[in-house]
Amino acid sequence: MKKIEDLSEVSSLISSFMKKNILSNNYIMPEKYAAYIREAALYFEKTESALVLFLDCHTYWRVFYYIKDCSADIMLPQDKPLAMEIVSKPNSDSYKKAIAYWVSKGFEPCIYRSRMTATPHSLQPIGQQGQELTFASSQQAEIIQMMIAEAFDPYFGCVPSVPEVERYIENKEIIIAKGQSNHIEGLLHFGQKNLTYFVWHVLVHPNFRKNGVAKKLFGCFVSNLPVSDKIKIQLWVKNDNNAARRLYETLGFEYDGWQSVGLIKKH
Amino acid sequence: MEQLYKILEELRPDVNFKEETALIDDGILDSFDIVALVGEIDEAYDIVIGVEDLIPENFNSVEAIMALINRLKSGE
Repeated sequence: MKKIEDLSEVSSLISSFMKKNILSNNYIMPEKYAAYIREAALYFEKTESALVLFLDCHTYWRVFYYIKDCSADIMLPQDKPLAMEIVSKPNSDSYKKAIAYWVSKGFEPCIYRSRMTATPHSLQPIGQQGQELTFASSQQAEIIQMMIAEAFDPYFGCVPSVPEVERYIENKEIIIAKGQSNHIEGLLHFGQKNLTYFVWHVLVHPNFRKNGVAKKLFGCFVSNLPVSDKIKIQLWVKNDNNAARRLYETLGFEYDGWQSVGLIKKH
Repeated sequence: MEQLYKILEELRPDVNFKEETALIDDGILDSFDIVALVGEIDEAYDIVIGVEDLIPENFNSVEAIMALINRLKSGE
């Protein structure tokens, strides 16, 4: 496994693999590559018929691949778990082929998700009474990080570090619901790129579920969006999380045709 | 240009590519679409779109994508 030192190296590695019908799960854009290379976290293995990028996520490797033919073999690091996500439109042959290829290499599918999209206009009006809804403050960074780490998958849940949570708080990207006890009953973490808003995390503490807290968090989130016909809101939901899926459908989200599977290889 | 429209319309039949001029800025195409699109374009036009070309300015409109293709074909 070799470390990638600059963006031009990525380009020359990938160029012969950016072709139609090559299996890939690599959707990294240049700004992300630059950040990974700065952190000295990006490595690769290459053969004639496969290129695999490995992102060092401290406790595991995130895997991005290009496979030209399914007989390709590649050396995988053995020192920590490997995790990858394959995203696709449904009924895609390449999706099924890629899953079968990685399963043959010892990976196990462990999380299936669907992407849902809404516009502020398609969302149902939501009241916000009952809880105090505010943007989180910097003193809450640690507890928020712990709540997210406890509630979301360590490999595929985009669990942030405390400094990352602090940055989201500074950017006003985390809304919290506080009850009479002043405890955080729930939170909604979102991000934005151009006119698309991404809901990264929504969680309600187990003691405060079935009280409409998530709905109210969404109400607060939507009420803070700028007014524009072009805004859309996206989120990923686990296929087996029926309660969350029902909630999002009630709010006005619809499945938009993108699905993903997360695969893990633990040694 | 017709070939490019055909590729785009197959990729995203829900988008009117003749009218949209902010495909990236308006979030109409995302990174999943762009990577799929690059594979199709590389094959159709026999060019190699590099990672450094995957910037919003090159994909915001059909004209911008065509300009990128022409630049790469002429070896600039």
